[in-house]
Amino acid sequence: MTVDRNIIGRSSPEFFCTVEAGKIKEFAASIGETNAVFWTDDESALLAPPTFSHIFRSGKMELLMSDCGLDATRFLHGEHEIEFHRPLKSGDRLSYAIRVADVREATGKRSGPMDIIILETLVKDDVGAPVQTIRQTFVAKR
Amino acid sequence: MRDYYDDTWIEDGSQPIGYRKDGWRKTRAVPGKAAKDLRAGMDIPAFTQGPVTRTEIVKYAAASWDFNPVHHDETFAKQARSGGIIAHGMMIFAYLGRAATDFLGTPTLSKLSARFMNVTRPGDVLTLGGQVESVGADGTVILHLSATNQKGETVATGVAQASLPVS
Repeated sequence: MTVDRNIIGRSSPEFFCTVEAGKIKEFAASIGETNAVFWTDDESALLAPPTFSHIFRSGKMELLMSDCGLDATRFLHGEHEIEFHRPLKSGDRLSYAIRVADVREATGKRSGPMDIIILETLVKDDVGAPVQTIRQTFVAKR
Repeated sequence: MRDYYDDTWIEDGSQPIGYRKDGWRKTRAVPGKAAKDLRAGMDIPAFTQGPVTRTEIVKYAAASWDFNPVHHDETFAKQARSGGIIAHGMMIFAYLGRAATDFLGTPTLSKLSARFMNVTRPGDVLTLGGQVESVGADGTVILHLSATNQKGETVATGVAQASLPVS
């Protein structure tokens, strides 16, 4: 099954969330992170570890893929890139939407023909300034 | 410093079932680095992570709100393509991020990316490391990162970029 290129540009609804201090610490504990900057009780100074923003998007990429008529279980998460426009910190109020940035076909040397989907998320703060741009590549064998 | 308790169990069969490890963790100050301290080709000191336990995977599931049963339900996971419980790729990505922020001495990166190549299963021991790829005159540092398991397979590779003070 070839993925329909017409899904390029399709987007999830806009989502909203607040970065909470307790959630940062729970995340830090779960990855064995003992760097004190991710543990301070001074909430105005508490930064989130680099991959923290992913937690807000759990399951939503798969939802968008289903909305595009794709079987999300066929796709493997191959690559992930985060561009940081500014540090993410406790108290940040974020909005974001996930968009289909590209659909491609490729032929692997061993795996044969594959479908590739690239999803892009722009995370913004409450005044609309960019915080992070996240690009994820999902790959499915035909 | 704010120390914390991380409930940790011994799950590798080395102790009778029901043994807890000491879960008190000491937080640590990570000293900052300047670009002049770094040179292309320099190794990032390697550290090990694991053996990865099911409990750690469940902690990551809860912390990241990712409850795909392939990460915690053995009955489900055995029937899935993974053939058993696997860790979240994003958990390994978080370890790569830690390797970068620890080595550079800054929690603030400008870019971080990962390429996922192999799955991680309970019991796997990962080695995190990498090299300095380049150091720019403006303080831009690029690192190449990797996570390798006990069989020598590359689990993930990554790239981190940060702007450090020049000196």
